[in-house]
Amino acid sequence: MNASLIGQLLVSGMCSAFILLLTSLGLVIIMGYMKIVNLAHTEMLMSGAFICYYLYAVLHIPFVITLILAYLICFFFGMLLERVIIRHFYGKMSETLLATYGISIILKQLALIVFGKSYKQVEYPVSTVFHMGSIYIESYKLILCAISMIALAATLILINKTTMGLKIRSTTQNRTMTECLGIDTRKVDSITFSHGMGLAGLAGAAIAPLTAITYSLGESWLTNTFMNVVMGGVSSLFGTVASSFIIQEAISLISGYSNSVTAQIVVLIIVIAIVRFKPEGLFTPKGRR
Amino acid sequence: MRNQENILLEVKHLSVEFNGFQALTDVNMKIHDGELHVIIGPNGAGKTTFMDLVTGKSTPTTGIVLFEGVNITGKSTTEITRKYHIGRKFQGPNVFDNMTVKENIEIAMEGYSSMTKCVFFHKSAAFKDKVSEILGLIDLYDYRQFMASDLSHGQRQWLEIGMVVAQNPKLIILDEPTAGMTADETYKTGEMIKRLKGEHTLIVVEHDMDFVRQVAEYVTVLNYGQVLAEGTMEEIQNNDEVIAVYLKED
Amino acid sequence: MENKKNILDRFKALPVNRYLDLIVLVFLLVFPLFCSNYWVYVMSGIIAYMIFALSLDLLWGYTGLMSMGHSVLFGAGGYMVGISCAYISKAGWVDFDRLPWFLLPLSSEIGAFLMALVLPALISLMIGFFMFSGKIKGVFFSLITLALSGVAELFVINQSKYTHGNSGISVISRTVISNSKEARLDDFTFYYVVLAFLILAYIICLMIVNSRIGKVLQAVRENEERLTFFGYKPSAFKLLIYTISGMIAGLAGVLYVRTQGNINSSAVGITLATLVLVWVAIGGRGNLTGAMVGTLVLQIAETKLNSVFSGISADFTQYWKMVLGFLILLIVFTIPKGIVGTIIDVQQKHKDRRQKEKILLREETAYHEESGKHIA
Repeated sequence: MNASLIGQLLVSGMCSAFILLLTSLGLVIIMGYMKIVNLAHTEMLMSGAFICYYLYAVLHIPFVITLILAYLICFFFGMLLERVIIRHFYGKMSETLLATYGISIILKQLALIVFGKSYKQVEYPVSTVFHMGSIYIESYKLILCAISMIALAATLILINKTTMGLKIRSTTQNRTMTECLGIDTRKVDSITFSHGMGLAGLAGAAIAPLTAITYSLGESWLTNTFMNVVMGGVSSLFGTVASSFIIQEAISLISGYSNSVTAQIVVLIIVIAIVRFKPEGLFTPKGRR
Repeated sequence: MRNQENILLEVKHLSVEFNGFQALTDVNMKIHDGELHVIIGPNGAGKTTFMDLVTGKSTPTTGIVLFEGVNITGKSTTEITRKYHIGRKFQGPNVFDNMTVKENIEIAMEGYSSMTKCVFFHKSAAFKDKVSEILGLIDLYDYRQFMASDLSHGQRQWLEIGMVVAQNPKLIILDEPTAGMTADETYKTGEMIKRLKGEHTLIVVEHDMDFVRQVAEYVTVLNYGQVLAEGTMEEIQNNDEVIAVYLKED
Repeated sequence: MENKKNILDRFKALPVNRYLDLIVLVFLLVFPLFCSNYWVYVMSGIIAYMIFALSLDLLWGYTGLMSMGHSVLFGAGGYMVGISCAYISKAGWVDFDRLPWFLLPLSSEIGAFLMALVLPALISLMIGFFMFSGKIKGVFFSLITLALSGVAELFVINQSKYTHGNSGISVISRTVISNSKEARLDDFTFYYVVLAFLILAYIICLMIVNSRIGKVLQAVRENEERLTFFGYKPSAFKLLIYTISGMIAGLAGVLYVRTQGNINSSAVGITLATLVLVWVAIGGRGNLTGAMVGTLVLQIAETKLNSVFSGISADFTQYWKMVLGFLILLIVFTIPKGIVGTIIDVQQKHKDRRQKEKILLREETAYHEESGKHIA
């Protein structure tokens, strides 16, 4: 029980929180603004990681450009998926869950068939380690925090400051009314979904150096990203930020003193307990629905 | 008929506010036992809000709701339904779509809603008779094996009226029972409601003035969340204020 | 004579899926007479899975609670038997002399069997109590149960002292309760034992869904808020069915372990949890038959195709899973109610149309009679 260990745990928890925020952002946006639970989200993380491997490790494209390309590739893939599949299931919960689950197995099995069971590795773009007293942290994780904040800020600006964002918000509030104003809500849906998928791809590419890249990468993120969405709720991105921190700091502290599985169990209990009293998420707008 | 002794439902100084919007302001109303009380008023007059308050779906900012002299303000929907026997038909058909007409009525039947009652339930002859009687009342006996989703709009409205009747409530609240019906169906609904009048106390919220004339005994007019006028149908029809805000469109 | 006709009429009035049930039953009854021992063994596993699918259908199809972590309850049942078996037969990896207090019933065979039913019921009771008393519903229920199965899989791997981690536990197979080698039945007999359990589970499910409870559950699925205006407490009913469903899932877990002879962490994991959703979704939910047919058809297809393609590709399963993915998409696009669900729908529409024609005809004759009287 010494202060420096706790400090170390808190700092690495903070980094993990930013990473979790980055990996759940796309999911939250699609769920919050379109009421669609995208079970293929974590497979998009996996796809993003593979994209990163091929562009960065094989083709030696600069890392920043790799990230942007990963976003764009997944953005257009998302657009295609929305047009072909998702569009037909708006407002039907079970159907979207099944359809996106179908997509997720197809993606996963495709990766297994193409890449096999072997692991791929991507080098850290920045390999230095940052020291602060007795606390040390890999510089790349700090960069990831920055990427996460940039992605969050960009999304907030897109939603709150641009015309497109206004259209997205108004479609969520009242679809029929928005259509009556002459806005093509199908295009709005398409952009929202694609942006969410693009963010998943970006996140996947960004976390690629941290993990072994394999077809089952998505699975390991499944529990945490979805718990994050459940706890944070979908009505506010700040809920997601807060719940990312609660989840990852708790995991970090508990696994520091016990083990990671106990941490997961405790966090699941925390999530269920919090959702029990705040079923709509941590921050909910008050008032008449 | 209207005197102090037989008041079934009374609301006193009822006000409610949502995010700064004053939905109801100081509403006082008395519903007497056995009467058919119609509430009319333009859109946004607070009719639905009023019913939400009575059935416990929302709580008032100030004021109280008395049912048979007991304060039921802020009680849960389940409790109000079970203990105080207030039944409500919602605006627009709100039935169990993928179940048959008969099943819909059976679910609604009074006195079988607790878990123990459900576990030890068996269909007695009296139960079956009552279900058939209600199916006859709403003219859906021939349609009893249909899925509720396969009925016409008007029939679905009737089904919901039937479900509320099956609850055997002391007070039945009907929210726009004729919305979206053809003229024939509206007339038939009016006759149905008249038949219910003897056995139940009814509050009906309506837009359709022909229908109101067909059924109404006593009318309250709401406007901007306030009681504008109250009285028998003739009194209301001759009230200048009411004519100004509401009846002129007719 | 009249009584006989009555029975015949009632038989005719049955919805089409009850005939399908009968076909499935006959198929399962005669199946072992025409095939190899290997297939009898495979089929007993599939029947255990069918019980599992039935338990999910109660929850998802009838009550509208789409549990994405139902395997936790299945696996909990299975592991109780597994741990008990390892403890009693003193398997090589067991290095504990005493069971913790809450697992003490596992030291007896019957205790283990009962535990395998009670523990899943307790788990679902606890989780359900928390979720349903708060207003967690719809998709959040699905996501929390999904997270639950993810965490449960980690937990089982982590607790290797009792669960033997990734390697799983070997169990004496082909007995229901006993753990002694002498009590083992042959494949053929044990198949019929498992089938008897399926019939039992089916009858229990049928009784539940046809009772008033079952109707209330359907009403919960259709419109939970409306139901409160009839004086019901939906959360109590949801809790009840979740508990019952958990118990049946636990039973399925026990039988599966007893047919396969082993259990490992995949039995509580997300893969099985979503696989059972796929069976029920493709077969059709909310009619019991769909869950059974879906499981039967898809599992037989997988096993059969696996043996056909094993010569061509070493790892057939990866392609099969992809086919499953496309199959789900195809089903939700074309017949979202699933195969059996769509058949029932067609029959119901047909019946409604005939009834409507009858009513119209009657009204018309009544009208003609009336006008006939006037003329006379």
